[in-house]
Amino acid sequence: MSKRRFFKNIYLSLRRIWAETSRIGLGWVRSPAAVFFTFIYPIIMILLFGYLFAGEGTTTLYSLPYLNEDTYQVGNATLPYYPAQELLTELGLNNDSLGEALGIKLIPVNFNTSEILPQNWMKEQNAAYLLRIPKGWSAMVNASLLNASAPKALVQYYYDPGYTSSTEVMKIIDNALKELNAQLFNIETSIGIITTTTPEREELSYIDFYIPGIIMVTLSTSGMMGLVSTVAEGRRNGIIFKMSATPMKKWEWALAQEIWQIIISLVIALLTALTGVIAFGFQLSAIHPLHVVILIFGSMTFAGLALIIARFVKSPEGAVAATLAFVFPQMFLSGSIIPPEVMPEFLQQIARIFPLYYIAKAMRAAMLEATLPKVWLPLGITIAMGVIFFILGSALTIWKKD
Amino acid sequence: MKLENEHAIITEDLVKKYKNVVAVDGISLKVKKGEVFAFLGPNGAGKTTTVEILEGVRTKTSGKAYVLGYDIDKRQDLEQLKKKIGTLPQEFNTHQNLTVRENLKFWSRMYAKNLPIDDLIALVNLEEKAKERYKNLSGGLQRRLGIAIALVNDPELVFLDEPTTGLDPRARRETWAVIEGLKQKGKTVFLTTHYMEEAEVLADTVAIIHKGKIVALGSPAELIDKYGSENKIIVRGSSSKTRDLIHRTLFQLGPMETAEGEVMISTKKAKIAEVIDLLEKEKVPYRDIITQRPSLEDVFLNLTGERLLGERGDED
Repeated sequence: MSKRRFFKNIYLSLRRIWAETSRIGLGWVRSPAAVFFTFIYPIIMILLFGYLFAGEGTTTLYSLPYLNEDTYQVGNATLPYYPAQELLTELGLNNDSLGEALGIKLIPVNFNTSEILPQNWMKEQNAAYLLRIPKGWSAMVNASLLNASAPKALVQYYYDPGYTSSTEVMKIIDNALKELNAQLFNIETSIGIITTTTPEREELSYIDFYIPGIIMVTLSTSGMMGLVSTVAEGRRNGIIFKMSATPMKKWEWALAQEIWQIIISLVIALLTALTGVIAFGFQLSAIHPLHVVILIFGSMTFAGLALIIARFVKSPEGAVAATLAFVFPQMFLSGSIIPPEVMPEFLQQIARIFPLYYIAKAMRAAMLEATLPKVWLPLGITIAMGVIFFILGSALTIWKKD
Repeated sequence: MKLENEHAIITEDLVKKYKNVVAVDGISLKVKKGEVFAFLGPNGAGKTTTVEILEGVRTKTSGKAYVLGYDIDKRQDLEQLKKKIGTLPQEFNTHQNLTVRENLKFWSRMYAKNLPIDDLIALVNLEEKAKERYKNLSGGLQRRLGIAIALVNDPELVFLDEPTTGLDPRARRETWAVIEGLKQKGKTVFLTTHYMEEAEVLADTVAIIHKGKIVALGSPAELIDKYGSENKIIVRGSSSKTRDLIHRTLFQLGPMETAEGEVMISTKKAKIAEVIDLLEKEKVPYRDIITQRPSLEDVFLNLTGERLLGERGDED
């Protein structure tokens, strides 16, 4: 082949690839639904997971009904005995700022336990928990002050195990009791804890670690679902086979799909980062040029995977189901949203089979100079996955009817 | 390596099997360059499968095929071939959100050699719809765009798979005019259809296909002459007495059938003038006389025992 012909072939190839890429873009721009979901989905994801898992800037206040039976009458007034009152004070009674700091809002309730059991009351009131200070509790506390062998003074905590927050509330009450214990019995605390952040991470917050993972999760879900459906639909309506009757080659067509995925991933990343800045104070200084490389090869990985899945899907309807079956486990097990270290050991091993595990790891490692040396292995794996899955995906794409 | 040949397409025992079904059963044919070759048969006969194999978009089970001298089994030959052919699939579709012009521009960029977009739009009379998105076009206009797309690269050979299915009679005739125009430009057209009139009007050569096999091959006239029924001369009279008189006068011409108000004579030899002479000589009154020539429908029926299903009772 002459040199001239060689370069002409390259030019024609690039022209075909760009024709398909720009065709996809034009079709996308003209599809209001596609544009809407491309922009809305990452915003929803970052807001949802940011508020759920980032923790900062949000206060969860658990409403805790309490029944204080340990009271006495002075005229028309009902007054609590001292240690009971002190316990309630430790739990933020009449002190909103303490209550917010503890995460508790005390709500006084009044019912006769000889007429209705506390559990039944809770059922009627649809209450998740109830703190009951029984009559005589303060007297028992005072007795313990005088005699260490006196029976322990116990408050009662009723809870519905169906609420995950009931454990949280129990811990708060337990801490308050320990505090009161130390105070009443003059116990000096000699053991404590000093907290220090890892170097150069002092100014970063939890959201700064979530953003990269959420970006990749968004790319993997929307990118894969979109492409698998597109390929399945293209086979069903015959456009792919019409394309295969032209000089366009399979790998050129696959590359055009990948290029579009890369373009859209950069848009999604920017959108997610900006939303993080506005909603959670995400620091743009955490972005490193290597993030772009990771995004590119991460998108190639997911696009390649999408082409592989599309190979085995018979219809556009089946495409959605097949993609979700892969994407959802990956989302939760890859460590992008839930840190791997909180998962059981066997799940941590499973996490390693998902491409997103390495991509998210690379994204996080690239955030700081201090952790940059750790980026090269996951980055290398990400690049290799991008290339391998692209080659496999285009090789497996059905380009001819059987 | 390209074989130089006067034929645009040569197939030798082409076969396509699916598990228990033989869709294409040993098809051997030759299509001359510059002719319109029609594959005529009902739905499910194997026309589309054959065409797709020749276009290189479907695998075959066995057999050989050479298209424009290229061996479709060789990857490099197939790559070269795709630059020179145009295709209109039976279930044609293109990009829904692109306009007519944008679609033509897109498909043009698949090829090194293109015809001007405006010429293509004019060829299929889509000037007024050039800025309309594909999804907003009627079925007939979509099909016309499909034909234009099949011609973007000024191909030597065009495959048109059921090009007028679903079109109204006027749109169908307009499409026929386009196909005839291609022939005048020296293009080879490989056409599949289940409309016998379409094959009769357009084709230089017709291959009748039935259950994956070619059952007859030749020009429309040759096929009709060889396999068609006899001519029918129909004399319409106004009364049963007239019909009896016609019977007695014309019985020597050939077998007769009588239907409501008319007498049908099947004859290969007799001409209508001869019948008129006979009737006038015997002073037999009649209302009118018409001739019904055999068609490819008759050819198909005689060869296969089944109807082709044309415009009336069309399964499409």
